[in-house]
Amino acid sequence: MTRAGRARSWLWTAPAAILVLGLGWAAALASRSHLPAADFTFNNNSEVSTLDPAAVSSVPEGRILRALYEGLVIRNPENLAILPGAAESWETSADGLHWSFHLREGLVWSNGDPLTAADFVFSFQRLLLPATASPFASFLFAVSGAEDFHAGRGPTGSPDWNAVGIKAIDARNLNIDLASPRPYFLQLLATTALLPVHMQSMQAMQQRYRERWMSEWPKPKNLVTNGPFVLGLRRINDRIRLLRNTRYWDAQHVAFGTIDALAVEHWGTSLNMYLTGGLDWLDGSVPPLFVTKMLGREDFRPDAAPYLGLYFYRLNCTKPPLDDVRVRRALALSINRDDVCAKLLKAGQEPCTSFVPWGHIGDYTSPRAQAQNAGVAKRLLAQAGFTAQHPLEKLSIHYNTAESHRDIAEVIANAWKNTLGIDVGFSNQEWKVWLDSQNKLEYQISRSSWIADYPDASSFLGVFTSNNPNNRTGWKNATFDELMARSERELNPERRNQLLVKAEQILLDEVPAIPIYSYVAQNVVNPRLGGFSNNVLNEQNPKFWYWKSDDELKRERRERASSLELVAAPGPSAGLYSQAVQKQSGARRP
Amino acid sequence: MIGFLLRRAAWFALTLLCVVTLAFFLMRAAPGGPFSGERALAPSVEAALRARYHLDWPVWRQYLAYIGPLDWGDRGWIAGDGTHPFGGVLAGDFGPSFKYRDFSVNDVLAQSLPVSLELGLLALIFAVVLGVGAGLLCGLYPRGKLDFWIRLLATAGVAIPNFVLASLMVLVFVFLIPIFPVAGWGDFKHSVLPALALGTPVAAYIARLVRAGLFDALSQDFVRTAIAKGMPTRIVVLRHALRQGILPVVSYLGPASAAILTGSLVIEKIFFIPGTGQHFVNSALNRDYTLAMGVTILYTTLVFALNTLVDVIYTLLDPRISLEQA
Repeated sequence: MTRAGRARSWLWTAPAAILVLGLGWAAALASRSHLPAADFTFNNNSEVSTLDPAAVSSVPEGRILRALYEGLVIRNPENLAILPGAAESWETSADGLHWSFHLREGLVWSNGDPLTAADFVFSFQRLLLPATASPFASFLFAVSGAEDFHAGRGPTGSPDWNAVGIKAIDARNLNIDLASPRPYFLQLLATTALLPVHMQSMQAMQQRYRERWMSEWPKPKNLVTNGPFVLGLRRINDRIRLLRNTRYWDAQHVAFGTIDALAVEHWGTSLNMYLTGGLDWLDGSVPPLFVTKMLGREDFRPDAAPYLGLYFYRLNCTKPPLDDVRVRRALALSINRDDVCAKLLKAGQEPCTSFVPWGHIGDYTSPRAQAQNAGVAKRLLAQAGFTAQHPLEKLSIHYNTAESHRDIAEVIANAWKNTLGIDVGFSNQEWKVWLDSQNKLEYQISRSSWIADYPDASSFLGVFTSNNPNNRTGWKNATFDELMARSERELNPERRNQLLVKAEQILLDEVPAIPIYSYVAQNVVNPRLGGFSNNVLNEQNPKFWYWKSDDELKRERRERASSLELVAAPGPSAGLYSQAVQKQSGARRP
Repeated sequence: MIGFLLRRAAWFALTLLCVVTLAFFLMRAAPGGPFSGERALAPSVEAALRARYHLDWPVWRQYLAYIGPLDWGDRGWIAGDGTHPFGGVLAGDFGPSFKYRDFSVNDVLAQSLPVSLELGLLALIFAVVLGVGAGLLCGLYPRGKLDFWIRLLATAGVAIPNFVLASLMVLVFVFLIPIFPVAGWGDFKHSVLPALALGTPVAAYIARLVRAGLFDALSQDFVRTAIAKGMPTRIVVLRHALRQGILPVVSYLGPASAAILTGSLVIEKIFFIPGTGQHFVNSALNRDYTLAMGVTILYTTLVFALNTLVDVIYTLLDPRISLEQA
């Protein structure tokens, strides 16, 4: 080839290369599987860590696990009362120690295997086995012999499952014996950690894939579950598709045939997707700038959704000056919680002075805390030896990097500066580093939050017992531990509440942490969705979801008779009701 | 050529070993661990979890086992009955992910890489066509109005961060003129906005490179001779100047393609795309040791492979360059 020829032919290589790239891309596009839209799509906020009920249970995992599995009992989303789940009924002895559960007749797993009491025994045993390394093993420690079994002890020295009070009497009857009564035992049974797993498939996967079984067992083609839905598809950081489980005992009352749980992490994107019809529900992910814009719409009602979550500051009680209770109380008494809630958060969060958010859970009411009082605060600080001549040296608020935490810290630091004259600095750390410093007590004042595992005051107060790994303040109090231990065993609700009030009073006096505000659930939800209720755990159960008819929606809007801005909620005319949903219409309310 | 490739392969092995070693020990030196969370674990539970993933071993032993020569022992990758011998990275086994506990690192990459490759290819095509095209126009009509505007746009394209561009595009093409979906990954129409956002800065950079390369070539003797002989400017630019002017673009495209094809955290977040880009940042934040190593190895390999490809293309474009001297 001549030089000129080479030059001319070279001119073709660029378009040719583009063409090849284009063909490669087109092939990739063509090979992409096309998914039809689901009956219902919601934002689950992040990718779930695992579908193993024993392994982890933060909020996103909980939503999926409750769709896939059903425990002995479930919670009514309207009021969190206990409803029958896999067990149709149960009895308990007068002393609260012996429980017998009776499973429904004809229960089957999603692969057709019968579901028996032995499956629950296997699942509870698995939760307790040390090798499972479940963070929730302690949920069963009330069961006689369970704590010893978990710790590798037993009556004969080695762990013995026969010594644990969980027994299958026959296929449909399960007995659980407690070492000491637990007033909230049924609520514990309704947590995701105590959901049943399918023994045969789990063991088969272990046989077949050896140590790789943990990444094979939860694959859609392998996972066997017993809940209202089965796992249809799982794409990391994209979506989990749930399909109605036709073998579920109550399948004829499950309205949605397919549900997509998306893992949208970016709040702005999530809200944009909702506003353009790509999502029907999102939770807790309204960008702060948009909260005031969204308030007043009928699909965003955080003001009507108190949530059992507490934002608070841990105080490091092991190092001066915060080892002095007078300094800690002075700090607590000079915080301006109203500014934080009204000026920064704006979505209806309430200033909180108690260690139980909203000051009550069920029939428990927190003791009254001393209100903000600058005079008392100054006097306490002076008594601790910090006066104008000997001012308190600089304090530091420690938080994980996020604008919202910084804003709150600035408001509070400002109050301490104005009231007590203390200079407050900030130290922000990346999430995991922040956790590490908090665990090692390498902080003075550290931002924290806690949400309830079950709707009971002990879920919050228990954090501050001496041996709780979540204490992270270095604060210890024997009387407090004793009161908490007694409350665990006290069956009489009134006497139990008295014990808890005494315990919380100690926290209020000793101030190992400063409560700041109570959470609200920030659901943005299609007004068309039925079977969805605000509750203090913001726990929903997809088996109850359905699309409201035009009549029902109209009636509700009329009954509400408030000045909320109505939003478009397309119904049958927009093809909202798929064939499948229509057939199942009239879904059951809990 | 074969000698060149063999030498490259040897260098690659050495580089990869250094990168892997450095990344491994840096990851382990970071405070916090994969299992820390707002809910603290009981010490016994944490110990059991650490034992399951062999984090209780001394770091050097974990390192050797991760690379391959040392067996994980009777416990296997994850504590099981351990009859499956562990291959290690040398056997292409990146191990289990700590954050996505239902998946192995191989699973995570196998799911996310095709998405990033597809999006990246579209963005690359767009960047090359637009960038080279705009640069060529500048070369054909130098110092005119068109040249001015293209230069201005190209500077803006390089300077504006892609998340600003992405947000603007969402505002315009989703809310003002609703022609594209706001986010997600499914159909072709989902790919357009993210590919544009991903490709625009690259296109702008390419346009500047082509323009500079052309101007440089146009001032050289062989081009001046061609023009003096009466050859039309169009032919001179396309046939002679472009060939030389495009060389910087080719060398830029090597690393740029590696970056584009592995995705971008920001674009994936804004457009909700399940690609690889987010793993580069999140795996480190989550202390997902194995996944962080996996993406590090992936990226090193891609950069090396693409740079080698660039060197080969160089010799085709410029006969003065020979691989044997390289």
